[in-house]
Formats: sequence, C-alpha cells, structure tokens
Amino acid sequence: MSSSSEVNSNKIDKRLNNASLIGPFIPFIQQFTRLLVLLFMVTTLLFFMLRLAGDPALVLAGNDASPEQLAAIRAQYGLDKPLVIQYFNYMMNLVQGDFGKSLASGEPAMGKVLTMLPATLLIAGLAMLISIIIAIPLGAWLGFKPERPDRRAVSGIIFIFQGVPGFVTALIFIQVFAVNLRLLPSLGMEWGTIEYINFFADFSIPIPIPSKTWILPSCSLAWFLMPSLTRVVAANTSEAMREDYIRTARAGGASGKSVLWRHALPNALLGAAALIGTQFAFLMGGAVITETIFAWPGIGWLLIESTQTLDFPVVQALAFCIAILVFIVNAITELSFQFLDPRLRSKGN
Amino acid sequence: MSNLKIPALAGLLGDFGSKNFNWNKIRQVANPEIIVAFTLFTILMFIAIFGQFIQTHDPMQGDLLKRFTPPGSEGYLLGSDHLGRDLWSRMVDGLQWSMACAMTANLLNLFIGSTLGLLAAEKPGMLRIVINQLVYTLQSFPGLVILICVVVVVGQGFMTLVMTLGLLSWVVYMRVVYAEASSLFQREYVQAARLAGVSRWSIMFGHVLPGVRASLFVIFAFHFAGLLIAESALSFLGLGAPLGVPTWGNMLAESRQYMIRAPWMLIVPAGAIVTAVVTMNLVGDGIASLSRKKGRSIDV
Amino acid sequence: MINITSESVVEVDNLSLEFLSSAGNLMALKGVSLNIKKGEIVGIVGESGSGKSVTAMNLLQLLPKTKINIPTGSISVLKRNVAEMTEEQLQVLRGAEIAMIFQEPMTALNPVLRVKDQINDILLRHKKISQNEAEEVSIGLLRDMKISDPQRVYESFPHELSGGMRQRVMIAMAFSCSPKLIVADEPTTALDVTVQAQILSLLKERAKKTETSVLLITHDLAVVAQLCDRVYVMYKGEFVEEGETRQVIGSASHPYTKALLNSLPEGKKPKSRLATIEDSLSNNSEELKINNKIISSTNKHKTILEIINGSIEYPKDYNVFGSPISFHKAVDQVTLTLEEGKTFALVGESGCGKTSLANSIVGLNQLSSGEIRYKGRNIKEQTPEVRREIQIVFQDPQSSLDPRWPVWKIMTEPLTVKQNPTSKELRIKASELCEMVGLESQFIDRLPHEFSGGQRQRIAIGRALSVRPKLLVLDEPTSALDVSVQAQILNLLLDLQDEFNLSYFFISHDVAVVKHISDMVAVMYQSKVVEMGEAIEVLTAPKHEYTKTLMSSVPTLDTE
Repeated sequence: MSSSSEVNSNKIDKRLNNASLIGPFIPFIQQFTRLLVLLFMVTTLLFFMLRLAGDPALVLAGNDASPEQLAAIRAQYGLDKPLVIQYFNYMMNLVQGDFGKSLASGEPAMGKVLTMLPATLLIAGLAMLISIIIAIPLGAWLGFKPERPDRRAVSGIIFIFQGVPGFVTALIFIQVFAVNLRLLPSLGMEWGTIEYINFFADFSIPIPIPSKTWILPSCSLAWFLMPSLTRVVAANTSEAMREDYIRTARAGGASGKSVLWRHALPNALLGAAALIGTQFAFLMGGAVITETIFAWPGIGWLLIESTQTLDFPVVQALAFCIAILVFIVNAITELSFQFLDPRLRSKGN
Repeated sequence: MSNLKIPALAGLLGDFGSKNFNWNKIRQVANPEIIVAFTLFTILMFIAIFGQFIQTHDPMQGDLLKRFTPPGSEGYLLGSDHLGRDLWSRMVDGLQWSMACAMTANLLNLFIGSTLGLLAAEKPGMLRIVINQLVYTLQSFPGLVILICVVVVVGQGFMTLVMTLGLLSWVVYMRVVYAEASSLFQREYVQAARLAGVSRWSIMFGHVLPGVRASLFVIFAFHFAGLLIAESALSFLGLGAPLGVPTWGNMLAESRQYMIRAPWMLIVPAGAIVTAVVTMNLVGDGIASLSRKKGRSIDV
Repeated sequence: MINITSESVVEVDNLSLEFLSSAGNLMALKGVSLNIKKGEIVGIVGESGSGKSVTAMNLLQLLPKTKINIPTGSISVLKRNVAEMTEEQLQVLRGAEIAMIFQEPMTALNPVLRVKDQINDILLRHKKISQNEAEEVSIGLLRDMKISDPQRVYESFPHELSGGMRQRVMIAMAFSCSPKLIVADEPTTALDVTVQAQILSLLKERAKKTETSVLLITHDLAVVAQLCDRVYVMYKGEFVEEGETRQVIGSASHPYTKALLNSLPEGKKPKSRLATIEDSLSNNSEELKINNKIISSTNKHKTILEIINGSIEYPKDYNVFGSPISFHKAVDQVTLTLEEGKTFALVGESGCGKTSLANSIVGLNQLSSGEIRYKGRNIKEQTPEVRREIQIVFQDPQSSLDPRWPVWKIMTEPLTVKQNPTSKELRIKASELCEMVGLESQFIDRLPHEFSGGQRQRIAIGRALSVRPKLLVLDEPTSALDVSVQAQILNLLLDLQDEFNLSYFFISHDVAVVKHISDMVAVMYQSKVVEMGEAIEVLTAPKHEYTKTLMSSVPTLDTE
C-alpha cells in the first residue's frame, strides 16, 4: 500500500533528476561540447575514409590523364604532401570556415550544400507537419479506448503501414498517382513562382509558391515518421488513461472528452515530442532515398551524387551541415519539452 | 490482486532445450496475433533454408522470349521480369540474401550494443562518457549517410554490407540495455549481492543480464525488421548487393523502368519486403506482450 | 456527537462483485451490505486485497464495466440506483453529489495543470458561475483547508507543493461542490504521521461542519478510532463485523477483528510476542503462550557500532560545467552508539536522512565527514570478511529479491562468494535457513512472486542470515506489510535476536513498532538527531519539541 506510492514518488523524483540535467544552462554547454567532439570525429573519419577510397587527383584530372598532369594537379592542391600534413591543413582551413572547393564543379563546397539545403528543409518540414497533423488526433483516438473493435482494426492497419519501408511507399505512390492515375508529377521540383517580401530596401525574403511537385516527396517522407509517431501517441495516451489523475478527473465528473483532451493528451504528448527529436536524424536518412527517387535537388540527392563521384569536400560539408541540423532540431525539441512540462519549466527558473 | 501465474515466452525461451521447456505453458499465453506471427516467421525461415528446393526456375537464367509474363501464366508463379527471369525464384533468392544479411548483422549488433550498454551502466566514469559520446555521434548522424560513405569506400558485397550494418547500427541495443541495466544496478537485490561481496561479473551475468534478456528478444525482432529495410534500401540505391544479384532492393530498382508495362515487377519484391518486415514486427510485439504479462504476474 | 438524522445517503444491499479475466474470475465482494447516514463518518477497515477499495470505487461506478460482473445486490446512492445510470448521468453526480479523495498525493493530481485549473474545472462543470466567481470560491476553499498562502497554492503546479499540501488541495476539490458524500480511499497512508494528524482533523472538522457523510477506507484501525462514528471490518470480500467504533475496538466479537487488534504492537508489552491472524483464527486458546513469552536479551553492554559526528552531503545545484556548487545535508553531525545484542531504532519522517545513514553503515554510500567504527575500528579499515558481518534488510521485499531466481539460490547467494559450494550443499543450507526464518523448506525451488509479502520478507531475512551476521540493518522492514504480517515479522526478528545474539539497527517511521521492538531510540528531524535515549523513556516522556509533536500525532486506539 504505502510501498506503491513510494515507488510512484521515486519514479517522479527520477524524472526530475533527469530533468535537472536538461535544465537550460548546464546541458547546453555539455551538448555543445558533445557536438564539437562529434564534428571532429565525423570529419576525421570521413577524411581518412574518403582518401582510402580513391585519389582525388584522378577525379580532378579524369581517368585518361597523363602522369605529368596528375603530378601537376597533386602539387596544385597539396595532394603530394604526406596524408597527416594534408589532414592538418584541411582541419586548419575547416576551423576558419573554409571547406574547400567542389572537385566536380569548383564551387565552394559549403556554398553548394547551402544552396541545396532549402529544398531538403522544405520536404522535411512538410513531412513533419503532415505526420504531426495525422498522428496526434489519430493516436489520441486510438489510445483513448484501445480495446474497441474499430480502434483495433485501425491499429492493425497502422501496424502494417509501419512495416512498409518509406522508399517502397515512394515507388507505390509513383505507380498509383503518377503512372496509373496521372494526377501528380513524379519527378523534379518546382519552387513555383518566387515572390519577394521587402522588409527594407535591400532585404527581402523569397516566398515559394506551393507546387504539385511537393506532394509526393513530402508524403513519402512523412511515411518514415507517421506510423511510429501514431503508435507512440496511442501508447502514451492509453498509458496516461491509466494514471491516478485520470481517476481523479473522472471522480470529479469530467466527461470522456475532457478526460482525453484536457488530462490525458497533454501528458501523452510529452513522450511524443521526444520521439520527434530523436527521429529527425532518421528522417534525414529517409530524405536521402526520397530525394534520389523523386530527383529532388536537396542535400540527400547531393550526398549520393558526391559520394559516387568522390567529391570529398562536398561530402565533408554535407556531413557537417547535417550534424548541425540534427543538433538544432534536438535543441528545439528539448526547449519544447520545457514548454510542455511544467515540472521542467519550474526547474529552469 | 489476481494471482495469475503466467510464465512468459521470453523466460521460457531461456529454458529451451532443458526439461523445463513446456509447450503447454506457451499454449496458455499465446493469443491469435502471436500464433499468426510465429506461423509466418516459421514459413519465412522454411523458405530461407530450403529455398533451393522450391525454386521453379534458375533465378539468374532468363528467357528473352518470355519477357514480362504476367503472374500465374506460362509456369511463372509470380511472373517474369524484363529479361524473362522468374520472379518467384528471384524473390526466394532475395529472401535468403536478406535473412542472412540481417541475421548476421543483428547478432553483431546484439553483441556490441549489449556489451557497451552493460559496461556503461555499471558505474559512472570515463568509460561511460566515451561510450555515450560514441552513441551520441552515431545517433545524431543519419545512419544511412555513414553507411553510404562506407559502402562507397569499401565497395559492394555481402561482407561489406554485413560489417557496416553490424558495426554501426547497435545504438538501439546499447540504449535499451543501458537504461534497463542502470535501473537494475540500483535494485535492492543487486545492492544486497554487492554487500555480500559477490563479484561484479557474477552480478552482471547472474542478475543484470537475465534482467534485460526479455527486452533483448524484443529488440532483436524489431531490429531485424529495421535491418531488412536498411539492407533493401541500400541495394535499391545501388550501394548494397552487387548489380545482378537477385535481392529485393535490386529487383525494386530494376522495376522502375517498367512500371507501366509490368507493375508486378514492383509488387512482388515490395510485397516480399512488407511481409518480412511486418512478420518481424509482429514477432517483436508478441514477445513484448508476453513479457509484459510475465511482468504483471510478478507485480501482483 | 452530532445528531444523526435517519436519512440514508448510501445503501448497499447484499452486493457481490467479480472481476472477469481470461485466467479465471475472481470474487472480490461476497454479499456486502453497507449503510451510511447523513453526516456520518463511516470507516471500512481491512488488509490489502480484502476488497475495501473495490467497494469504494463501485459507489461512483469507477470500475471498468466490461471487466466486472455483479451477480447480486443493489447500490443506491442518494436514493438513486447508480448501477443503472448512464455514464452521462453519473458525470453529473460525480464531483457534485459524491466526491472522492485518493491515496497518492503524488500522482492523483494532473502534473501539467495548475491547482486553479483543477479546482475550477469541477466548479465550472457543476455550478453555473463565472470564471471570476469560481476563482473566489476556490481560494476560499483553500483557505478553509488552513492553507496559509492560498493565492500561491492556487497558482501552483502540483509538483511545487508538499505531499500534505497536495492532499489539502484534494480535499478542497472534494468539498468544492458541497457534496453529500465523500469517499476517502486511504487519504493519509502516504503521508508522514504529523501531517496525517493535521489532515485527519481537517477532514473530520469540515465533514462535521458541513454535515457531509464520509466513507473512509483504511488499513489502520487507529485512524478509524480517531475519525469514524461507525466501522465495518472487511475480510476476504465480506464484512465480518460492523458497529460503533468504540464498541468494535473495545469489545470485538469476531475472531478476525480480535486478531487484527491483537497483532497491533500498540499497547502490548515491549518485546512480547504479538498474536498473528493464524494464531487467533486457528486456535484462540493459544493466547496464554502468546502474551507471556518475554524475550530477554543478554546484557553485556559491549559496543558493536559507533557513529561519530557522521555527516552526509549530496550535491544540490551544479554550475555551468556540471560540478556541484551547493550541497544538501542529508545527515548532519550524528553521533550514536549501538550495543551488542540490542536494538537501536532510528525514528523519523520521510526525508529526514535516516535511510542515508543506514546505507552508510553498510557501505552503500559514504560519509562526507566523521567516521563509523565497527568493533572499535574504523569500518573502512576492517577486512571484507568482518564487514560482511553487517547485513541489510530492505523495506520492499518485492524489489529486494531477484524475480528470476529460485529461493534457494537467493538465500545462499552470499555463500558463493568465498568457496565454490555445489548446488546440493547450497540447497541443504537453504533448507536450514528456511527453517530458521519459519518457511517450509519444500518451497525452495519456487520463485519470489509465488510467495506473499511477509514470506518474501522472511526470504530476505534468511539471505541476510546466511553469512552469520552480527549486526542487521533493518530499513523499514515491515512498513510495506499488512499489520498481521507485520506482527509475524516482528516476532521472527525478536526470536532471531534471542537465538543468535544479533544487534539490530532498526529504521522506522512507525512509533508503535519502534516502541515495541527497540532498546534504544534516536529521533531524527531535518537531518539531525534531536533526542536519544532508552526507548521507553524517550517515547513516553519526550523532551524535545519535535518528539512531543510526533508522539501526539500518532493515532491511537483510544476513542476520545
């Protein structure tokens, strides 16, 4: 009897202890250190791996280049020095923000990545939005009374959906909507007409007009997240429904609707927010495949392109960019956590 | 309150082979979904093991006169592809490749992930910090991106695929083992064992590892599904199996040019992947629900 | 006493209830009849699993309808048959006419909603008032609950309040719509005894003032004695006795009620054997043997353990780099001495530092200053063999036994450390240990979950005994158990002490238990020992202000 409440209070204490670790200041510095170590590890690993994979001079000069041409190119790019020296020089440049030039086109590598980034952010953002809009109400509906036959049927369908890999979905979407029904375009990307909003005389923001080409890629990418998010929201909701405060609310005469939306769901969403954060890295992986299938000119597509041509400054810049992106999304998730959970909010103050 | 003494499959699996193993106990706890899951799983394993005997054609040998035969006609169970090869036989080959790849990589993941998880959970210190940084790196970086880089560097092939998947995707094991083992190390019975002077290895293998065993079975099934997807995705992108090897990913890649003419070239491998993945997810769910039941019978 | 009109608020007649499950149905209530009149405080007392909570939940129809079956009986609350009401009709009733107070103040309030939202919700749902009026009423209610700073509490989230404060909020919520009936399910079980006293008097005062009927569910006869006009004693789904509280406690007629009263340590001779339910139910004539065996411990006055100026600090706040900058003192400059063969008890409320101190004796955490001397030497300098002479028994026998290990393996685990005994030897040893702690030795192949709570605690004690310890640290060994089981375990501990000349370091929040078992006692309050001395002396004539409050808060069986 008293032991059960002790256990409960222990559970809560533990959560709060963990929470104090993600308070506003300490964690930020810790996480930032972690990010720096991460970037260092990734760039170092990639540098040596890509060098082992092939000779950049060959890529630059082409396969039929003469030995003299190769030597000249090596000298020009500093590729004749020992690998360790090259690595040192590379890291020095990196610290100064210079990622080198693309071996394929000669543009600055980071610049190339950044021009491709908005397209990826667009479908990733849309995919997340679609997932959230579908998953939260659907998960809440499923988790409210999971034992009902209709909920069980829908859960079964979601379960099968979860087993369909995102790239298979993309192919099926193309088959159905582009090939059979001829409703939507399957390839390429349009920004639509781009309008500029002028804030000041020389500062303006481009606003892309939605285009049909966005639909299939973003829906396919949403598939990577939506079924698992739905299942998590459903599981969290049904778990919250068993909590003591739900019993309190019901004993106070709360209706089913109020129990679900006011009491159970806010608690259930705390767990779902964590999932969105951790799944973003996974979503970026999904973007690689989706962009390849739909020939969507984003960083995923660029990654396949540049690894296959051994354009290693671009690969490096890409890795850097993705790691920082994931870091930012995780930081945002954690902040939203603090916003959602008052227990963390007051710890922060 | 009720005194249900339901043993769990996860626990029973540990007794496999010994005299405690009891089919009756399993029948008591099995619900329809679990029966479906394990039936499907048995069928998949059967095809994977005895594939050679149920193939109707040579999966590599095509008959150009019989290109794009629809399923069920002219002796082609699931139709033929653009080179007139039998899709059923190719699908069986793909299953063998996928199962072998996912199984090997999964075992490697299991070993690495649970070892690191246990070590990190035991006590705070440098080792824990290093392992956590490693996990953070692998986690905040899309696994697929690393895999692509590795495959490009090392080249395609079965071993490359297995080793990259095996060495890089153990994070899920580590995280679960770490979380559960950390709480187990705080349990009073572990503290009591420590006070009695029981050695750290005896505690790890006697109390902690058996405590996470049920979860390991569950992750093994779910992660198996994840690896099947990763493997076929890599093949699809041309980064996994070498070109020409009949794997599901390669078959899907080949189907793209003939979508209008032969939609079954897409449907057959896609259906195979979905079936395999859903089966493994079902198995995972089944084991999870069994071990939950066991947990409850301990709690009351 | 207030004059009680004959108007009935609750009438339950011959109610039976079973839980449906695939593994077989379980009869939870067997023909229960209950009657509560207006303004009356009625208690249901019983041990865990007796069906008392089920009775309470069923009055508000809060049990899942698909999982229960009611073969016979009727429930009428406020002259309405609640069993036949629809969910919508019930929602109008709940909170407005019947309210409920739950046990867990930690989890019974929604963590993401402010107190004001949770109270106002109920008010706005059942009364036609505006938001502003609701706020006024709520703050008034909180003030009625003797909360000194109602405005702050009103604006707070539950986690910002202490356990007692949360329970006051729960009571305020229950009284918010002036219901006719309040069902309180173990409202003070999770609270410290001084807080419990305040909450109980508050509940009683409000109920009598507003003429609200209260149904109090509890396992604690003393709480019933303090609060209730009438009491029902529940045992295995049936009411075995019912009547005026004074009458039931003063002259119980049913054997179970007698047994329950006999198993309480309160009012019994210290260190005497307590009657257990089995003793009383099977054979009432055994009472002679029960009350007369007094265990005399040998008086050697040899010191076995000393703590000198022991302090324990935990880091509280961290700076930007993650190193601690301020500390919370869990134990502050404690000095105490434990004599061989005696029981030293440490009494205190939750969070006073008693468990931290116990853990430092066995080495689960370290003192930040001061030292612990065992047999005259600093414990850190003692060899591992000597340190093994100190063993610990934890509060919760559920989590202190590995659920996957058979009993013989659990009990003999400490023996595997030095030699490599065969499992046959270990099983023989385990059977011996089983006999020592009063378990039947044929059960040594069973798993812990096949035993009851009391048996599990016996297993835990057996494990501690396996290495022939000299000193046992007992961390609330009986507080997770029912009173009758508690009596068995206390008897066992006394027997073992007598037989093996064990010393006990006994930690408890329960003054009655401490009074019963201990020779010396130290009272701990806010990390410090505020009073120490012979148990009888300290607990009957306390000198320190806190000890006095503590002693006056403990509910007793005396009905005013």
